[in-house]
Amino acid sequence: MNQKNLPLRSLSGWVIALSLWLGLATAHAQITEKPEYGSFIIENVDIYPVTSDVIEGGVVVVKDGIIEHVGSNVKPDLSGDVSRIDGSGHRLYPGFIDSETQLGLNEIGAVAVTIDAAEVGSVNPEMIAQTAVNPGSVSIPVTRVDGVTNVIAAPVSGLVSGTGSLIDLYGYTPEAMSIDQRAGIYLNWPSSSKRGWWDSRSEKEIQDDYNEAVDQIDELFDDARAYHKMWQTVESGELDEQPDVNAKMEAMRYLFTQEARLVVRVNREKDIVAALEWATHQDDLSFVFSGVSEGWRVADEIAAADIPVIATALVTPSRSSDHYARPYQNAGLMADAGVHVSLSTFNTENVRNLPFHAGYAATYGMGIEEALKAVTINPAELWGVDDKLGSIDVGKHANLILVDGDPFETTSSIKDVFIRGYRVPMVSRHTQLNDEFLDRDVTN
Amino acid sequence: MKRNDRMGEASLCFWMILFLGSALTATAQTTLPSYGVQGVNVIQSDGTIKSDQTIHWAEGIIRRVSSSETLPSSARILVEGDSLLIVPAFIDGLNHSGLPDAEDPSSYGTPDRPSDPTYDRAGIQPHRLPESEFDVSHSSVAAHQSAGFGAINSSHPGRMMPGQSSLFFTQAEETFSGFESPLYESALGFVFQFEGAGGRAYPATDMAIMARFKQLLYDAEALQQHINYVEGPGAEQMETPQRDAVLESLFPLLNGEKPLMASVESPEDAERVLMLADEFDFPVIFATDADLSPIAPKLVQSATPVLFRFEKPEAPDWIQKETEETEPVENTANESVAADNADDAATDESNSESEQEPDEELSEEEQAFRARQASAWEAKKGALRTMLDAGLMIGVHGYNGNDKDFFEALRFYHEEGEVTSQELLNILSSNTAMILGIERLGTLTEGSVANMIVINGQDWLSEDATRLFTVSNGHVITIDND
Amino acid sequence: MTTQNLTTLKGLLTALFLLSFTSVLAQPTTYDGPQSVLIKNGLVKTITQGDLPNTDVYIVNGIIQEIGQDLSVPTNTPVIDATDKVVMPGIVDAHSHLNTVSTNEATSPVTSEITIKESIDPNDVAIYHALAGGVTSINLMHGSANVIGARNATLKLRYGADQFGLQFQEAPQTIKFALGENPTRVHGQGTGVQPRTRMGVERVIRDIFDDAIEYDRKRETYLEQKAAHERRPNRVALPVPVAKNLRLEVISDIIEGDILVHCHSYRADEIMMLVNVFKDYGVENYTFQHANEGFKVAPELAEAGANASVFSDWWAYKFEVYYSTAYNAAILHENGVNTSINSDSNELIRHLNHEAAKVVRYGGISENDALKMITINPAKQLGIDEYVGSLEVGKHGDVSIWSADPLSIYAVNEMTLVDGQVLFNRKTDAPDARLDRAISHDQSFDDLQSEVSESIRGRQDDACMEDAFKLFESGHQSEQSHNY
Repeated sequence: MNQKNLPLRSLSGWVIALSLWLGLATAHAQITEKPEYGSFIIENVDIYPVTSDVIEGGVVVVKDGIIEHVGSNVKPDLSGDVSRIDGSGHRLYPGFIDSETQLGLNEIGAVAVTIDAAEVGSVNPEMIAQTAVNPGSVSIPVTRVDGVTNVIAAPVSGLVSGTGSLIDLYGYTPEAMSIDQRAGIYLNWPSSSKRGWWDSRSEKEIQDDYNEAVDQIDELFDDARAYHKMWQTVESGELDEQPDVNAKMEAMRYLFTQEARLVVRVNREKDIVAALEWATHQDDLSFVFSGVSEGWRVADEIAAADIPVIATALVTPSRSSDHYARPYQNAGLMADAGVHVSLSTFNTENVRNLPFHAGYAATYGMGIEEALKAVTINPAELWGVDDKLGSIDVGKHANLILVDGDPFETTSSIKDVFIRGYRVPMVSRHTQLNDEFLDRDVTN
Repeated sequence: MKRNDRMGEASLCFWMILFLGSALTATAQTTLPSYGVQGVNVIQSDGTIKSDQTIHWAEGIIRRVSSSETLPSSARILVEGDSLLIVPAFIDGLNHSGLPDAEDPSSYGTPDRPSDPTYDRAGIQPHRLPESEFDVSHSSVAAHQSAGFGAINSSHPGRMMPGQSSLFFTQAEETFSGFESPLYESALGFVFQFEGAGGRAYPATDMAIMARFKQLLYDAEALQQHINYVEGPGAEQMETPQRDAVLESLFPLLNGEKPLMASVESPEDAERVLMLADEFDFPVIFATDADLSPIAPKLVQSATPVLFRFEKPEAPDWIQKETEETEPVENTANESVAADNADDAATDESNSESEQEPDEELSEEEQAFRARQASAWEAKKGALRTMLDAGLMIGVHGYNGNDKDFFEALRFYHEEGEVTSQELLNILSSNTAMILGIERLGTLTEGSVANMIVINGQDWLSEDATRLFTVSNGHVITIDND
Repeated sequence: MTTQNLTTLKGLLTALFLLSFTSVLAQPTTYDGPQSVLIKNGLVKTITQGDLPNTDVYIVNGIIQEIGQDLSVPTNTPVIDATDKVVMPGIVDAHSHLNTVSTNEATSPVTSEITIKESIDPNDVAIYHALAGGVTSINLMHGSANVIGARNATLKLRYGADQFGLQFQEAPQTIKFALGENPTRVHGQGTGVQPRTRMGVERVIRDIFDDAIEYDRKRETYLEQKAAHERRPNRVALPVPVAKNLRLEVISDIIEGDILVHCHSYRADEIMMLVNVFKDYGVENYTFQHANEGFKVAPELAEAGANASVFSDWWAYKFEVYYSTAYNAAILHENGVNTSINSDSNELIRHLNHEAAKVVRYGGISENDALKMITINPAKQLGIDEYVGSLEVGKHGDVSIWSADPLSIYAVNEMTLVDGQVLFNRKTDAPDARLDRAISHDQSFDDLQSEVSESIRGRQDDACMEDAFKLFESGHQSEQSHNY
């Protein structure tokens, strides 16, 4: 047991110790420990609500999955079965939200049969990520014990990849994990440049391919818009006839009702500009741009278009002539220009590194406060769930993390994680393998 | 400038073509005729220009170069007149002309053992000589003729070691059974390039090509020794070695008797080849279109020459645009005195707009980018000058068959790259001959091979000069100028 | 940080000289050879001898001459004021493909005759990016397509030097081995030659080792007999020549202990296989690269004296790394295995300090031990700990200077020195750090966008399978589809 730096967390810690001692836990076992649910009082804790000032030595009360009280250190009178958690020397934050991952969809990168993020076909808005989210994915506990409580699970392939879903990283069924199964529809913006060193297309071919793809997008959205209007007419009773139902077009209707956002994946300056131009002709859609690795170059334009973005920090510079730190600075430069920025790892198994992306963005210009928003309240606003997630406010979901220091600091440790009021076991494959092998029996 | 003035004063050209018909049908004759030019200007490789010269050649050899002499009566006068210029014919230091194309690599399958393909599959064919397949009537050779090339050092195209190169004339006697051999000298060197086997076969990468090359020479070394032992005394009991045509062909390279003719794309590649040369101690001739001046000291020290490929580099878009924009402005300004006022104003306005607007919009980043690119462009233009100044011996290779492009590239290096036309002429003729070790080519002296270009004009490099004939091995080739 | 003294007269002259040719001085500082400099009054993390507050590091001609407080040095010595800064040794990355021309010769299961020293691209701006992350030495490796890959090149990141100048001359030769999925996929699955399995992988190693021993005997006998014949031609018969075989000679050098093995490996069983093979052939002092399951056999590795060079947290991108833990490095360390954290990535190499900090998070090892994992420990694995990896008198003046504790996410690398020369200076370097010789004369500014990677997703597979995929993609799809 490698617990020398981690004080055993009262009961649950002893449960692990005991089960190990009994030889019950094996390397490949499922997480046997159950979460705690009910009422919690987290006291003597420094509260970072994000939407308001830090409360030092405060108290947060969680009941039935909801934050019931946030305040200074006055102990509220709670009757019944209440777990008291001493947060002395610790900080309490809302759980972090990663706005684009393949968590739950992909299990092992190189094993094709475990990859559920990429459906066949070019236009697949009716493919909904949530249905393929595997609640038993080994990566999910690995992610949440490091403080990420919510992610978007998003499909990746084709022109329109599918519909991404916002989930809690706790639950035994996709439905239980679901917050919004139709958070956004993903459009991979066609590129007007070479795709990489291996792209042998001529300039003309590239331009032709690009034009063709944009035409295809225009046609798709024209059709979808017409379909939506037609059904609006039907639904309002103005049309007697029942037109045929088309699953793809039905899925697209959520865009026009503003229930789902259109998430445009676009990275290069030229392509961002083109996508911005296209967006001006689609004023009935709610846009998000994702990736935007060259967003800093056109930050003012993105801000003017009032399109929120999802960006990352730990990538290589996009051009060989770029400043070495540009990827770290990208999010901050956009935020400075007034762009609504959320941060993402764009990853699967290492979504746990989200706080470090925020840390780098913070260090290289974004500032800690803004970077914190970019992994909490900003994504909550982006996905229209700021009434449920993204800050420590009364009435919101109890998605909370207890940290022994600054959560962006690599050397800090996450001590407790609450998701929908469930105090989840601080156990993952990674901790289990550590527990089994740190002091391995050498004779065997 | 001086020459141009003289050109202006010169009488209109009234050169004559005598025996033109004979020249064209000369190929049907069995003996090489005796030819001459008289009253012409001649440029020599030392830069001297002599006027009123007579050159007489017979059986492919220049018999006489002198002033105001008349040709022997037996000689046919090809041309005469002081509007004509004779320069040594060009020599292409390395090319694949006259030879069939290489196989399409995509047609290669994966060998049963990708790690150990046959020599042929790996592109290791140093035993291949081009003479049996060289076709002097091939269109690629005709293209060389009309550009002024009298000789080509040609090798098979291919991959890592596609063969040895041999020097051919660009014209040969046609007999009833075909052409006589245009071969001048066989097996000048071993062609080498960083070109993997293609598909999934060893070697695929540059580093593996290096390793494969070394192993070839180790194997050749052992085989040569074995053969020497067996052929010498005291080895009666020794088993005879298994013969290997590929390895045996490499002995001259191994023994430092023949050069490696290495086609490279960068100074780094050239350095890698020099590593091989250092280990095995053979001479190297580089064929490249890259600027090898960064490694000039190494090349000078090892007396390694460079065959340069002339291709006009493209200026960056924004420099091209600037040039296009500034030029019309100047013209407009000059003509504006007489021009209609309203038109003029409009032109000025649009020009100033197109000139200033992008500059204003240009980010600091892009300005810095341009400044650095401008330096890179200057370096590119000056590459040949830099290499010459560094003391490198430069010849030419890789004429691509398009004479317009070729002469444009030559003029580019002259006008933009500060290389004199004499230096260029030497690069194209005497230097290349020297690099290939061919003494009797590249100069117009008595006893040399009769390889020359007959040009109408006084500046061979000028766009206005017309090449009339290329003479290769004494054969007169009439250039079709439409 | 003040660097006023760094602009020496020579530098000024050079600047003027260059200005006369170009309007801007945009090229970053390029390597000029060993230099002298005084790094003054920093918090010096020696790594091997503790943290020294308010301490100077005096470098003379590229070598650390003195470490102490208030050092007096010749007046013309350039000074870097490191007050309130943290001075640590340059970071050593034991696994990189930073600037290879090509990475994998994926056509043969054994390619020991090849060397990455002949595949170094000295012009890649990635070298500067690594310097910006405080890295000064790397193990430039062959990929993992082959059971026995090429020999590697240990480099010092002397940005601006040529392919020879980048090489760490004093470093011993190392070679890449690779076990598991990559070689079995490339060769067995790809072209139907052994190995297709981990059984085959072991056979490939044992067979080539046996061949090398056999070769060595024959070649030595030949050379001895030849020499004897030359001395006494009449008494000693001529020997039949045995050609030098580069591939086998390198294997023989491995067995002799002249070449250090760095073996790409993941699973515990394959790691133990190689431990056993090496025991049989007497090979020692080797390093398991990646070793995601190294933690499972940490006591055995410690006993064998093997090293491990691992990722801080990468896992699950392929089946053989599914049973991984981010606690790997800590477990190996606690069991006494000399462990380093590597990048194997041109992105991670930019922040190896952050990667090392993860070992504190996952396993709670001391901060100095974490820093050792990116300095002295990898230096030991590369056999260069005599020269780099800590700040000690007599070692190379390879230094990085940080705004704060380098394990903090808020720490920024301010300067990186190689051989006493500042090759990265955050304050003064121009944004565009490309070398002049790497600048294309005709690529347009807009075209640079085509360099932007379309995908910014995480690691999908090994970086060290570069080139191998090129082969997979090169027109033999139908053939392969039978094999998959």
